[in-house]
Amino acid sequence: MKRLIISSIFFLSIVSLYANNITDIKASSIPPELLVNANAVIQDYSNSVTIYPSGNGEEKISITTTVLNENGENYSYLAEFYDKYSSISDIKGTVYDKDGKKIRRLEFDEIYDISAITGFSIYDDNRLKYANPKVGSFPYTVVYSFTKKFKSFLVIPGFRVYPGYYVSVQKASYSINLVNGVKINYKGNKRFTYSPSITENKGTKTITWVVENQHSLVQEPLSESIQDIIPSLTIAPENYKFDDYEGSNKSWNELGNWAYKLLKGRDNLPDATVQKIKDLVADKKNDFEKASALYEYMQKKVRYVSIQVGIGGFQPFHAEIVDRYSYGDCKALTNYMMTLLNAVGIKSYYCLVSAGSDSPNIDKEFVCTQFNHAFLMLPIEKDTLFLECTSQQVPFGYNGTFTDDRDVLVVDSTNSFIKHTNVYRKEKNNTVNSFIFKIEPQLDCNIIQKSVYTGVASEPIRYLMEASPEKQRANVLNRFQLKMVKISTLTYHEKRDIVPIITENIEYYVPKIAQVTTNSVIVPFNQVTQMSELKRVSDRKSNIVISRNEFQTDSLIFIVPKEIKADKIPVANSFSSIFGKYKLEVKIEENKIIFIRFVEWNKGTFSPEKYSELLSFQRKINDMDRQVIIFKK
Amino acid sequence: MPNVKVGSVFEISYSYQGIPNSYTIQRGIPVAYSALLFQEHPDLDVRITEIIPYGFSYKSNGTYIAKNVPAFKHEPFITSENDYQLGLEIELIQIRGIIMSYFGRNNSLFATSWDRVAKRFLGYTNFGAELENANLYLVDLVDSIKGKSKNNEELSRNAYEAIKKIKWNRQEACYVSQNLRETYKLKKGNSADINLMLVALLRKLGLQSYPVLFSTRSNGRILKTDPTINKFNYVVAALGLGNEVIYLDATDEYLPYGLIPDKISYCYGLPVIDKTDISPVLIEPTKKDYLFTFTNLVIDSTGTINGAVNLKRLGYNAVNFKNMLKEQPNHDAYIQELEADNSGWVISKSEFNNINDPYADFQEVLNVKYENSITSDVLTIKPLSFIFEKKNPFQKDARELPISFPELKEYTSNVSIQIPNNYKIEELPKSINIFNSDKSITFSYIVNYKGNTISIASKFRVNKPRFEIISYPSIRGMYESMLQKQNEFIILNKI
Repeated sequence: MKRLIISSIFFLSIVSLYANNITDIKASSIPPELLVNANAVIQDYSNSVTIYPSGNGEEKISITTTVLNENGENYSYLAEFYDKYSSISDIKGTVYDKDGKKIRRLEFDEIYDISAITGFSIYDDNRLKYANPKVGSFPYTVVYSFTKKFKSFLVIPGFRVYPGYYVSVQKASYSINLVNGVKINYKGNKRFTYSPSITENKGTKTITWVVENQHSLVQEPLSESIQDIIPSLTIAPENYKFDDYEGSNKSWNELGNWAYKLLKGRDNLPDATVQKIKDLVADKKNDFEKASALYEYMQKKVRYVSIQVGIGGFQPFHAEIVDRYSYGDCKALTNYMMTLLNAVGIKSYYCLVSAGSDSPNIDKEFVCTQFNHAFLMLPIEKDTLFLECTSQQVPFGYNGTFTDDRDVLVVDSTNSFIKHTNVYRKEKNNTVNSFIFKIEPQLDCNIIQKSVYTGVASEPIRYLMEASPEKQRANVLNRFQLKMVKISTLTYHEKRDIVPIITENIEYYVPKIAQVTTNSVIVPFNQVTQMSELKRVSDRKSNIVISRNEFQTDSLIFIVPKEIKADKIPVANSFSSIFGKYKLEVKIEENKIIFIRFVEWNKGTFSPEKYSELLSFQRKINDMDRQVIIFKK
Repeated sequence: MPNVKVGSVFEISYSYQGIPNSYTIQRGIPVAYSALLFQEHPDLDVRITEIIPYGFSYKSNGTYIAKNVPAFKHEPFITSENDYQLGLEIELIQIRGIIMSYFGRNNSLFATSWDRVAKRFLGYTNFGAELENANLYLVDLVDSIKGKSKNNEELSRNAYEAIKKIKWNRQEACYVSQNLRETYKLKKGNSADINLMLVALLRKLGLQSYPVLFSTRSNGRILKTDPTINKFNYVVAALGLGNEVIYLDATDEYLPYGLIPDKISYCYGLPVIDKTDISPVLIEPTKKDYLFTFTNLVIDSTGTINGAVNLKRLGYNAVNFKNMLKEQPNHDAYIQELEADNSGWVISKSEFNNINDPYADFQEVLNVKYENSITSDVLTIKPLSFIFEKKNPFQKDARELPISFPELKEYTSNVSIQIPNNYKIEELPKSINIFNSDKSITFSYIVNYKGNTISIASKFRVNKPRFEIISYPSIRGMYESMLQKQNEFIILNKI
């Protein structure tokens, strides 16, 4: 009983210590420039991370957020993830009104502990502490504090200055306490320009960063990924241990070799399967054909299912299991594919990658795990192919926007290294559209379209091929400016290859393609491939990023009825900018008008001041595309 | 789930206690076979109402079998799928026998009549009982309202505006979630918390007020002949002033006094009063979706267009627009969307007047500019339409369900275009004036010119809220004509 009282007094004084640290949370005390373009303001964020030599650690976090309007409500929630290797305790939440007066404290039963299984994971030991204070009037302030304990660190929680767009930061601080000589490395991204202060006390080294008065970030079109825009600091332990596997971040080789240890011994296949695949490749002439056949075998046999359990987040399960149950996650399926290839004498390498069409490249200069996916590298003859093992649709050797043009870690027993994946240049990101508009005397029109999508351009079309006919039609109709379109045929064909090609054939009808006036018939020449305009942004802050080179060629052929005669035709032109090129050619033949339109985009990162140049380049293109053909009756 | 492929079959069985309010048979996927066995019980009087777009294959003694029911396809502008999907509504009328002697006679009567329904609601702890409380916390507010009101109408308006300050949590309900005192203290609640609070306040001000229950349009219609307790999902306050009854919903800050929210337009509302011979009353909206725009454009000698667009939004157009604007992250986002919808135009200024005053005319002013980078002797200009619809909501060729608009529409546009001295008019869009057979939809587009000025006056009207399926082609056609005219060009030639 006595101990309980003493610990409660201790507890209370800690609470009041926290309360005293929040000096002025009145909404009116927020500097007015921090209210611009902000749905919420982080008045105070503080995170103190402590790491012990045993490999344990803890975070003590407190966050004071003022929510300004409905769009900032999600910043009033508490949402902290944990799993088998971590725990969250001492959760406190208090709500204050706009004058800093306490409205209420969060009750124990308002803090929910729920499973955090993501939509695509079938089993996940991620859990979540969640609270939603549901306050009525704005602005209001919520203060949360809690402690998170870790059993072992593979990834040390770092520091992101902002939680997202449209939130400003009045003060944010992060400190890391290294007990008894624990070694770490740290590196900020390009936007992280802050210097730490370092102190030492009784064998514990403390490194602290404090950031103040940061204006909110506004989301801008065609910008870098949010991970590159938010200033952030990554912390990597020099050494780590997970379950019983020890590793270090001293070099990519060491990190890769540790990942290899997790793979070892998980490559057994039942004899029956080994025989089956040997038979399958018996008549194949070379390694390329053998690998291609095995890849298709795997695609038909297994399904991708996401499973993230404890070290399962890092270690694949046995190839045998994949073989038996016909499912696995990216690690298991990659390991399985590697095992199949090995059984017929073809060497391949398990690779770790930061996948995703919007993901920034990893920082090669900073060794630590920056990956979220695994796939397979296959050196074949003079080429290097990368195999995506989680898709039943993707052709052998095609990577696309998911894993192209980035550095990946090739995992080996003693010689792991960084390699850059394939880049899809112009001819591998190419669209060719051809349209024939047969205009009838009554000015209705039958249209035949053939579109050929090569490489990266085929990716969105692949999804469309798998969709229902209704969704396909809706997608096609959405591209046009034409009205009352009736689609009669819509078919797809694919040439499966390392650079796949998908062909789309469409036949459709429009009851009225022209505007009829007293003497004329007016037909806009391009009602099918006009570009939607980029948003005008004044005083742009972020870089402009065009991720890949792109080509598009359109031919629009109008077959004109003899009842009308072309009087004024759109003007041809060509122009270019640092962002790309546009060209329009116009040809008149007997009863035909032919337009050849060509657009090219250059891959690159451009400084924000160039945005007005991009807008006027695009404006020029749209002005060209909006031209009309004027016929006389 | 692992191993799911086309052709996989799932078998799911479950059970729960209680009688469901409804049993929906038709769904978004086809139903090959559906059987409901509703065992009759001598002590339970239950009314089963069928919603039958298609018949049952077999129906007898509580057994309903349906076969080969097609998937339900949603169409734009219907009241609710609940009004059209094959299914049953189940309403408890009365409990008899031993159970009745346990509950007592009155407690065993449920939806026997509308009077009984009203009586029950009056007795519920999370409805009528709340109105019985003394509600003493309202005293200060009552005094302050009395202080600034000269007559009953002002009392009720001020009361309405005061309750509108309570924040609605976007939950539609006919039962309160907390007692009225909590609602008043926390300043937030669901629609029942707020509107019953309004009834309580009006009564404390000495006015005649009572709650009115609704099933919203999207929840589905109620029938005057079929009393129900289960179907209601919304409540508003009614006020008797002189000979009039005024309906007030305090959940939407943009609704002016006396305008019902369009989620209950053309619905039946049940007055909850302790009387005999109560009957649901049909509520009709008192305003339209009304938009008036005036556009003034000046084309200079280089072909650049400068102009201003004035938009006046009234009735439901104002309410819906203001609510839409609230969803936008900021004003810039709204301007960017407008520019995206009107390719080539740059909006240099956008201003709103009277956005927070539901009683003043809500106006919007845009300064616009169009610069063509192509120099040519021929100018092709699309007169603006920062107005009307951008896409035809009626895309499909055929329609299965009647069309229902929540309110009538009137969109008027006047455009005045001044052309430069060095150009002459080559082609103008043709004027049209079209309407369907009973003039329930009309569209006129009249083009004129005098000297250097072109003027275009257009008007689109929907004069009735409900259309049978047979009218669909003409409705679709009228919308299409309106959209086509908005996309037509004026051609000017250099002199």
